[in-house]
Amino acid sequence: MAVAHLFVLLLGAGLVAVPIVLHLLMQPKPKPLVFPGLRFLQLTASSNRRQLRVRQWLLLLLRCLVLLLPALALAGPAVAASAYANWLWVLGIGSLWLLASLVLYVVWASRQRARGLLAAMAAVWLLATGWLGWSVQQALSAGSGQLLGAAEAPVSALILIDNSPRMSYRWENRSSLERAQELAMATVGQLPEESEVCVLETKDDEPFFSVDLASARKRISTFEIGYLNQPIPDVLMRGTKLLAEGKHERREVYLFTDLTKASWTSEQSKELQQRLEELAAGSVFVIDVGAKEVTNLGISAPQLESAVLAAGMPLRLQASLARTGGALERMVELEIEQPDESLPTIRDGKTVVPEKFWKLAQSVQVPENGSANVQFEFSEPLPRGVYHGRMFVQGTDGLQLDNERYFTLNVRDSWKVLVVHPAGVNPLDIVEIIAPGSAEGAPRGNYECTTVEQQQISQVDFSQFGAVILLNPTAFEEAVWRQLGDYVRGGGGLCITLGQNALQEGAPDERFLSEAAQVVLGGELTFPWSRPEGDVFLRPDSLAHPLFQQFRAIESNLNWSAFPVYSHWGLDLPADPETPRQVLVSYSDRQPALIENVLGKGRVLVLTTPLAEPERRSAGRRPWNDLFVGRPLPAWLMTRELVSYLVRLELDTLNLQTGQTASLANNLREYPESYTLFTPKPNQGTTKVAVVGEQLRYRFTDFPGQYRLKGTLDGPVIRGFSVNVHPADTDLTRLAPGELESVLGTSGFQLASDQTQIERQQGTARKGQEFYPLVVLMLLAVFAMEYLLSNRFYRSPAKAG
Amino acid sequence: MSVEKYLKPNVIHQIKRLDLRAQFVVKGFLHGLHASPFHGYSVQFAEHRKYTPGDEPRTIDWQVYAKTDKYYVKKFEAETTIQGYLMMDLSESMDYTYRQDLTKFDYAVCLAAALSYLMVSQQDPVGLVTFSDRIRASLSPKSKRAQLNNILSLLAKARPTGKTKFRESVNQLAGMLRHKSLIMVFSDLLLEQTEEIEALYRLSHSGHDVILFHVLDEAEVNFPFSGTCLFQDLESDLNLNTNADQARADYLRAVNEYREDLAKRCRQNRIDYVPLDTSVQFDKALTEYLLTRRTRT
Repeated sequence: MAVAHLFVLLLGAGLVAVPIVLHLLMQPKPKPLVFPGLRFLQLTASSNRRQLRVRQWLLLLLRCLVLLLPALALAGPAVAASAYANWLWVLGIGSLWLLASLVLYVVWASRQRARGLLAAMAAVWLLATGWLGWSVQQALSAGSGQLLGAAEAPVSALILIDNSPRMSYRWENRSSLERAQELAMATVGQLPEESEVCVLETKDDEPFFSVDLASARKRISTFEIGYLNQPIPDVLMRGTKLLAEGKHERREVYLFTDLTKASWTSEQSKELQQRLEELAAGSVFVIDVGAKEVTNLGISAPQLESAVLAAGMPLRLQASLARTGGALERMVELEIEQPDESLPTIRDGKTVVPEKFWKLAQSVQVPENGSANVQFEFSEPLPRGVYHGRMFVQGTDGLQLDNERYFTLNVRDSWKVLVVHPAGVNPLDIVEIIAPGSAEGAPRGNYECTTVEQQQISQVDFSQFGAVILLNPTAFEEAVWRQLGDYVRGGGGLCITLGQNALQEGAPDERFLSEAAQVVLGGELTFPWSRPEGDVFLRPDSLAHPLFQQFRAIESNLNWSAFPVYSHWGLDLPADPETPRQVLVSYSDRQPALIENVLGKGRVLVLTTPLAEPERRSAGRRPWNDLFVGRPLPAWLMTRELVSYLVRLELDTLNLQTGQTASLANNLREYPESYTLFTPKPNQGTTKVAVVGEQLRYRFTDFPGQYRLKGTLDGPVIRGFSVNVHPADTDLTRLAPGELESVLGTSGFQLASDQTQIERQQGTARKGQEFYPLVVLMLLAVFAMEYLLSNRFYRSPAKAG
Repeated sequence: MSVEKYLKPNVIHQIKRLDLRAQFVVKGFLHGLHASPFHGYSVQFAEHRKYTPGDEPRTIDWQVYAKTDKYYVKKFEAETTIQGYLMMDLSESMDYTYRQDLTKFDYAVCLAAALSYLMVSQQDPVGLVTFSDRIRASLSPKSKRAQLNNILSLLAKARPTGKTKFRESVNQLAGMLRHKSLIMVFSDLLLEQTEEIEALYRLSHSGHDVILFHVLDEAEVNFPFSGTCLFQDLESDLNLNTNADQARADYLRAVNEYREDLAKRCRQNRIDYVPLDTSVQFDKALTEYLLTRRTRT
């Protein structure tokens, strides 16, 4: 509870001393009277004295109240609106307690002092006292909000405006963000002079107090939709840290939000609630600027089979349309830019991009509040190069942002993969997995496999291959190991699958133990482990490695234990920080199964059990594993991913979401050292991007659209990538009832939706809920009681007779 | 100037002569009476006279009527064998009045004087006993004219002091009585213990005729005080600080209960209880009582 004018209250409290002093010190001297009938007086003297004392004290109490209550009313006592009910409750119980006290005193002072009644009233009084104490304790512990008082006192205010893409939703000819800005400006205008204001948007910015209110208004006016947003509670948490350092005792928080669920997802609700309670209890205003009824049609980012497409392969894309509102039929278009080596460029200060497109369109029927898929197949062979495209829904709706999505495609020659196999080991199954159709001479996909017998390996020029796979190799000469090592150091990818061919008389072939072999293998072969029971299998510890990118989506369908490994090599991996090694997959007996050994610019993957073996079953000998028995999905997928990882296909991230880092492999033999970046952001101009370590990285993807890279190496080199808005950023689902309370606490905020409501709640929060009317009513009641009682107690004898 | 004027207590007070005061009172009483209030108690035949309307029919002598065919009534004279005793309370509380002209004692003396005069004029012997904590003075009953002077002289000298010991005083008086007597008690009966009054009942049960004149001050009956007062007792060191307005109702209730209780118990014990307060003219009060008594007789 707070009072606006403490001085008045103190003055009133001082005046209360007057009747008390008069009562205690200025009591009139009794008239001495000789009276023989004293014995008749004595009969009731004690009860009369008690009654007299009751009356005197009661009157004294009332007269003190007559002085105190006007002072209290003028002092302007108030509590925060949230605490008003608690204090009303305390007031009610206090009145009951007073009543119980009076009744108890009257019973005590009465002539016929009934002991039973006295005991009952004492019990009631004790109960009321306990109840009152408990209520006061509850009211105090619930907090009375921050200091209240004069409404003109300056405040430290935090104004947080949600500027996520969802706020671009337009309704009644204005976007939610425009509404938020308008209301926020008006709110700042309402703040008392000398207030300090921190204006925040929902991005990862350091909060600060604006120089003055005008600066705060200016800052609000500059806000626009941002694509790298944080949930409101997280931003609020940072803002409250600054607010705690505010110079004014009264603090207010204004949240301008469309109350969409995605804006309010947070892990730190409890801490936030506590902080708000401490800082600005009762003065947190949530201003709902969102549309209550939303209609929208959005399209998801196009899904490509692969962003890197081998030349001549057809392009297939699919996307889904989601509808909020009634059923609808719309045209969905696909546009693919036709490459133009001269573009992009800047002309007259504007970015000029290719304007010729290949176009496809189809009509899609979307059910009410449902979704529909759309698929496009572009069968015309695309020449080598980087292609940007977009897929969009024709027409307009409230949220235009999700009507259009972008993609980038790299069409290039297929990667060449060399599969080396010793005599007696058939590589064709593996080749068919890597490059389906190779057996018919028409491989499909991104790879083109070449097989060579191990004997001829010394004649092979590894540099023309993106990856080399050694299937169950026999021992190499030292020179071959060095040759392989050099190939990897130069950026090549090598996969070695070890099997029984590395075995010589029950131990590793000496040549596998040579220094050059150990450098390539990353360790020393120890001995073959035999697990004839079939209880050992591959068991990846984690699917976080890029190698397992495809595994993550189907993790639950992968039954590794159905593919036992009967034998595998042991590999002793020395700890050497200069040549990092990482066990990507272990066996269920904790022995390493797949090891990554980084050498120079390249990498070696060593699998300690073979992918292809000599025909051992027919000879009645136990195979090393059953990885390809039945429906070998894990082994099949792992083989493809091994190759993909070795050729660094995963490094080219061409289709991103806002905030993700674009990363493109940039072999300096093929690509330039630096590029000019044309961002989709309007009026952004160009940026120079340098290649570091044959890797081109760009992390400022804070705007959706196509990012175009233009470099020069024996002629213009055009590359690029696309950035789409995160799906959550266009999800307009509003918070369910109670969800906001779970974030901010049940009574920690006040909800408003227009300026009038803000002002009303602002006023209530600043001045609190005033007790003035209540105090005046009490004063009237006390006046009336005082008049009645004093007339009754001190009526003249004539009247009394 | 009419006789009634001299019966006003304030006039009497001005005269300050008790015998004259008693004469006024009693002559005023006799003036309106035709027969003794103690008629039928112990009287002797004196003569016959002609019946006049208003005479008691039972006093008609039917034998004379049979002889003369005329109505004659018998005229009686009181016997001298009935003795009257005036028992005057001399406790200090009797010397009190708040705003009246007469203290309770003065008032009681007026009554006693009037009754003495009445009895002496009827040639009945009347004596006086004054008491407070014991019997302090006594005059044996005599019917001589000088007895009135003796009584009045004694009363005039008496000053109410000390505490009341009613029981002991009554018992002492009872020891003095040789014949059936008329005992007239004048007291405010502000006793330490109400049981003390029982001595009077025993006196009544012994065959004596007892009249109890319960004299209270007007202030004691009406409690006219206001505001916070420190009440002090006359016969003790007791005092009481209380609000008179607050205490009034309770006090009046207590006093009335006390008087009603006394009246009831006196009635039960065949004692004439005459409640009086000093605001009432004692001649009227006495006349009223004597008339009532005569009617009852």
